[in-house]
Amino acid sequence: MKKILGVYTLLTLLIACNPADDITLEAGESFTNTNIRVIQIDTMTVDFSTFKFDSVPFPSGGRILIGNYNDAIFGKTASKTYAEFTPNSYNLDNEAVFDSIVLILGYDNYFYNDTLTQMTFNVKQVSKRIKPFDDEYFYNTTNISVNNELIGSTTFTPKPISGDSVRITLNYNLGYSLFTKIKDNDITDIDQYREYFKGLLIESEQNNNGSVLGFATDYNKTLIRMYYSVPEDVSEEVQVYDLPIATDISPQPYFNNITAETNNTVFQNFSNQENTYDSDQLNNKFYFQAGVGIGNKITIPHIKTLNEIGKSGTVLNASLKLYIDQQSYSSNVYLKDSLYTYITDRHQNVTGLHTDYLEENILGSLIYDNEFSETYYTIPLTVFVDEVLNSNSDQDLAITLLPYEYETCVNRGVFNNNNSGNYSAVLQITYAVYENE
Amino acid sequence: MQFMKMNKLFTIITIALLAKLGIAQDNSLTGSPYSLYGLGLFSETNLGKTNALGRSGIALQSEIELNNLNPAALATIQNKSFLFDVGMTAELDSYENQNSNDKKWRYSFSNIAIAFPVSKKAAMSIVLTPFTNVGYELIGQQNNIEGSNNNYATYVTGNGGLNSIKVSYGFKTGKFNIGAGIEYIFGKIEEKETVTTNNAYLLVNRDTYYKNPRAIGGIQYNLNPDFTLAATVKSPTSLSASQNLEVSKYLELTEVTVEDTEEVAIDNFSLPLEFSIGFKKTFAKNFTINSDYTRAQWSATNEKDNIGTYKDMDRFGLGFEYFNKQRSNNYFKRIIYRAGFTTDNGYLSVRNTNIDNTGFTFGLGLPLSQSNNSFLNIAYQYGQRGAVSATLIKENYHLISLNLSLENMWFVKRKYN
Repeated sequence: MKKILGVYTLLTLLIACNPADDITLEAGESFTNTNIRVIQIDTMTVDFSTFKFDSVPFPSGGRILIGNYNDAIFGKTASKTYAEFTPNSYNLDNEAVFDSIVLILGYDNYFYNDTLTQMTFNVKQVSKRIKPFDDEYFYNTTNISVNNELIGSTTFTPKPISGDSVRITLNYNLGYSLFTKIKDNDITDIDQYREYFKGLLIESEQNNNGSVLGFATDYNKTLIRMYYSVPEDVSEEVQVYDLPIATDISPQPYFNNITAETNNTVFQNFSNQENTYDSDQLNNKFYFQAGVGIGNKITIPHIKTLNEIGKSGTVLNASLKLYIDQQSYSSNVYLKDSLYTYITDRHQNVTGLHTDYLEENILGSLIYDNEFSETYYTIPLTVFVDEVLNSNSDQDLAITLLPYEYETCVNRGVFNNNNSGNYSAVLQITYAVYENE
Repeated sequence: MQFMKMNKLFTIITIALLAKLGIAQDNSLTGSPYSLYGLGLFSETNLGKTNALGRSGIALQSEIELNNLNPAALATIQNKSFLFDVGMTAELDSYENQNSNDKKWRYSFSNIAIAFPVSKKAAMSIVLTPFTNVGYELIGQQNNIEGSNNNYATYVTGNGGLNSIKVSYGFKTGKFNIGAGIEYIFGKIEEKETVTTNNAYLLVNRDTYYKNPRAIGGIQYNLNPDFTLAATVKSPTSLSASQNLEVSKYLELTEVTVEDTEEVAIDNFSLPLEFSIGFKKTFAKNFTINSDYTRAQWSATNEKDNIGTYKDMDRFGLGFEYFNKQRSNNYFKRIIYRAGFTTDNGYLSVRNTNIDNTGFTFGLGLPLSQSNNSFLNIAYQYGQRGAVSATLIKENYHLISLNLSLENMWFVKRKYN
């Protein structure tokens, strides 16, 4: 009996482990009706609108942006820079003899619009310390009062790629006086220094259609340099005393003020960030202009109706195809190869970059289709649609398309909305229903 | 997003998926594509001798072997005899549709059973058998993405099945044997479905658990020692079902969990009222003929399937047995010879075609001992299911079952060893 029970137990276990078996056969197409439906939808309404940020905060490490150009769509666009230059030490040889003072602006290769036109940069001294009002951020709208006296100016042909820097000789007396005070130990620390020299405004003369140029802030790229010599030195070589931008303090003591003259443009009435302007009111277009702070807002208001197709479903793919207005760009006012997607709240505040499940940024890619001579961006919105579908909030989540480093460049773009004939914006969604009612 | 599972191993998983497809195509994994429907394919085999008798025999008794078709037969177990039956099956399935054919072997255990007397006129049995079997794999089906000219591919597999454990009791009163039992049905069916579009995968895994008991009853009426009439009934029951659903997708090289729910109650599955009538007649001392008719009232269950609909099923079984009851020292004269025939019109209709099933059976009962009724029962069944048409598959099967049917005498001390 015990034996039999033992065998019984063993065999029970064996049955429990009986391997599951499958067969493989290319059965007729409808032998099994799969439980899963896959649906492609490209008729989902997408709303596009444009607005103006009240202000764009200047980011840490942002580039220096100086210049101006006339934009046929966005108006005359200009950027000027306020910056404080401070020495690393206040020690100068007692015998040192001042020679000259130069502002050096080192190119960082960024430019926008035609760089063949000559530019004039003017330099003035600020009369107040360069410091944010709220001790936190400078904005593209921030201004600081200046002395109107010009302390330096240069006219040059920009060479943002091949060139090294723009050099502007500053007022001899300013340099001599500053040099002497440091040499004679009248200035021995930053506070005494700031009493005497608070910083510079560097702007371009706006009498021509030039370009906007980018400059690096590294200590050896953009700085004030004083040349001097020490007579008793054997070599008598010219020596330098450098005043770089103190990028290691926070907030960093420099920023750009970026503006566009919007008279007679579609943006002339844009004021409060709370107001958005639907693409229907803007010639069926929507826009962005970095730096100045023209932003766009893309929403899919009825996206949650996808949840009503079946009992349970999920989005497999969503992609937005956005055509560029063919007249809006050229080799001068060029298009970026990619655009970043930002998440925007209902007050049009950018709350962050839109990222995928691996926290990597989701980019829209520029595509030149030579066969059909079409230019458009494709924006992968699968993750966005997934997040909207799964959010419990009824609030419309929105995305905003802007170029990388939009706070410190002036690139802009003009897109067609979904009511633009053959070049209309299209949202294509692939949706799977895995449980029907 | 409910929960997101980040996973950079997309390529590895893709390779693994492809490897699985490759293995599936190379290996001899078997099962019936018809097991896709409902609870799967109902088990073809039973205990001992009835496998060789056209799956019939509710009027047969359990004098020398346990008859699992009718609890009333327990009444005839000889006093002090302990019966034990264990079986396994080997099945060669060949499938055919309009374009191709395929062959698969399948092996499985088919039953474990014990029976023992509880009094001079009554006995009990405990029987564990597979109840249904699910095993299918349908690959590379192309379906249209609604609203486009593109297709998506599906890959569907099913595994598992239900088991039955049955406790029965039978007793004798006059010319009647009467029996009753409780059958507890339980098990798990796993279904995996993969959808592939040109830039995404969707994986849906469903594990469905079923359980519930049903009552069985049976009666045998012995007109005389050679002629028996019998009937059995199985109560309708509703198997309660709960499901674990796991849905995930691969987007932008990332696995994302869409849904992961456990033990969600889903629609019950109804099993029909089933009744059988049959007879047994012995003639010329050693020949026995028996026959059963069974009706399963599936249409009353209102069960539905994606394509198939459930219809009442009729089954007919016929069996012959030759058993030389005279003790003989010639081993071959002690062998039991059996043959049978079974046919049913199926309980499932797919696109208005019934999935019918017809089989011929042959078998031998090879005695293992001179002193008791222990046999090795071998049965062979050849049959076919379904039909070749645009959408259906015809399945031919060769089913070999081996049952070790042992008798042990209790409380009998041998006088001589």
